[in-house]
Amino acid sequence: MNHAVTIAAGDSSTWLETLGEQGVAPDGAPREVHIRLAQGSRLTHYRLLGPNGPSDVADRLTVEIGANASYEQRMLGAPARKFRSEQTIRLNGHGATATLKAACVALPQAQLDIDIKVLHEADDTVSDQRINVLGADRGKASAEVETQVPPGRRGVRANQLLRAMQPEGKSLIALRPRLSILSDDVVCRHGATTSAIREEELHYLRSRGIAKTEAVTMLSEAFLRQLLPANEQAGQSEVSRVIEQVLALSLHRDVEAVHEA
Amino acid sequence: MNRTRNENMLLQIRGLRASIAGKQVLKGLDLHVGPGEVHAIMGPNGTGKSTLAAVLAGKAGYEVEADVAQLAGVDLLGLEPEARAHLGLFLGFQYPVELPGVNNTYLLRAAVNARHRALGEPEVDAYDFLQTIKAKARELGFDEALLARNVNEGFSGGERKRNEILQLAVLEPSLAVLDEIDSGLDIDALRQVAAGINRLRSPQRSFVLITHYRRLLDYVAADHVHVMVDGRIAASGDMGLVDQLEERGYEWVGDAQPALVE
Repeated sequence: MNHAVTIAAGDSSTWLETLGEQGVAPDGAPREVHIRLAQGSRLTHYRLLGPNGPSDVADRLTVEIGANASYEQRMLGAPARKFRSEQTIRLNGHGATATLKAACVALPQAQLDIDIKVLHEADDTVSDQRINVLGADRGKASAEVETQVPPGRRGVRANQLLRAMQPEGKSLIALRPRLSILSDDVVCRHGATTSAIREEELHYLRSRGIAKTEAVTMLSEAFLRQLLPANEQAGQSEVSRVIEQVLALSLHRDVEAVHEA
Repeated sequence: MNRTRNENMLLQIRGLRASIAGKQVLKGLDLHVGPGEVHAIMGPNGTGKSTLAAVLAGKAGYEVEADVAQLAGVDLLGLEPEARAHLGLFLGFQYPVELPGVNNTYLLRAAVNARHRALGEPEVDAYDFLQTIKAKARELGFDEALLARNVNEGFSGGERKRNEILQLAVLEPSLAVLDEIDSGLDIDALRQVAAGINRLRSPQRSFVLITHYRRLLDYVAADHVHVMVDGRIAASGDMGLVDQLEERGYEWVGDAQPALVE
């Protein structure tokens, strides 16, 4: 159930990880994934989980990022029932960078929990964490992101932006951006917003002839796509194919939920 | 406006009244637009010009009544906004919204296909459609790069208005209501937008241009000019009315109304 991935110094890699293929261990323990990026390496990590995956998925991800190494994670999570992801991102080399972008869908009666800790353990490190959660009727989700900067660190930059959108119906979404800053030479920004679909956006699409339900789906998909790579950026047809499949499955179910509501 | 009801009119509005949050904005407006005509509606701030555009397009939040409100002989007020678009109505927004994550080409194709479905016509082929909209952009002198971008995301004011004209060209409405399409444009962008409007004029397409200033009308000659005051059309005339407004401002309109009404 455990995975260990090491990116050698100076190497550049892409990893498409289809979450839920192995689900949770028989003893209920989450799947463990450990990634280590050596100096000057780069990893683009796609993590995808669709509603066609197993009903109960949990994982624990640890990433250690060495000097001048770069880790970029793009996650699309839309579990059918339950998904919990605990992540610890350690920027432990000078000049390390981490970019985490997650587009999540809390489908009807599903529960999705994301808990990320980003530790700036070296100087001149940069992190950017963005999570968009789309809440379908009766869906539940929580996103908790904590950025820690221990004493004595210099030149740290960190961003957190958590957003939730609730198109229709009632979903339960908790967003918790947290900062634990114990150094002075730090530039941090963080925020969280929750909103419905803006009436102006809906009216704009409807004035172009697009029916309300289709417009809601279009805006919901757009909300998720803001954090997903464009097809040409993904650079791999397999990544694009899985993303499109997960989006189609997720939004189809979401639209059904809207109709039911 | 005293023109009598004419069955050949594309747009027939009589006694249009609209309120929002308990405040009446339109107070019995009459407007008749024939096929292929260009009408300019001018007037000071707060007289209901943008409300007229919003109400025609079916924006939520207004209480609307009218003695007659028909497009191509069909009652508008009972229709959803998308059904009004399928009927041939296009609203060019004063402040077109940004839609991050919604690609321009995707939106246009979805809009065209929605109309085709409503009319019982087959949907457009993706490849053919792309060639068509690229050709439209070239015809209008617009940068094809607009098509690959998300709708109005990061667009300048001029790009947003050009994008509205491009949408108009692709959707091919019978009536385009352009709400202050000239606002926020520099002189080059204004000329380009005006050229786009002129290019899209045809006997089958009418325009209602809502504007504060004559500068748009220096490039797009209107067949009829109206002045709105306090929720009604207070005066109507030809382009000569624009010259009088330029000289004397809007305040005199109420007094001069009888002599100017067509």
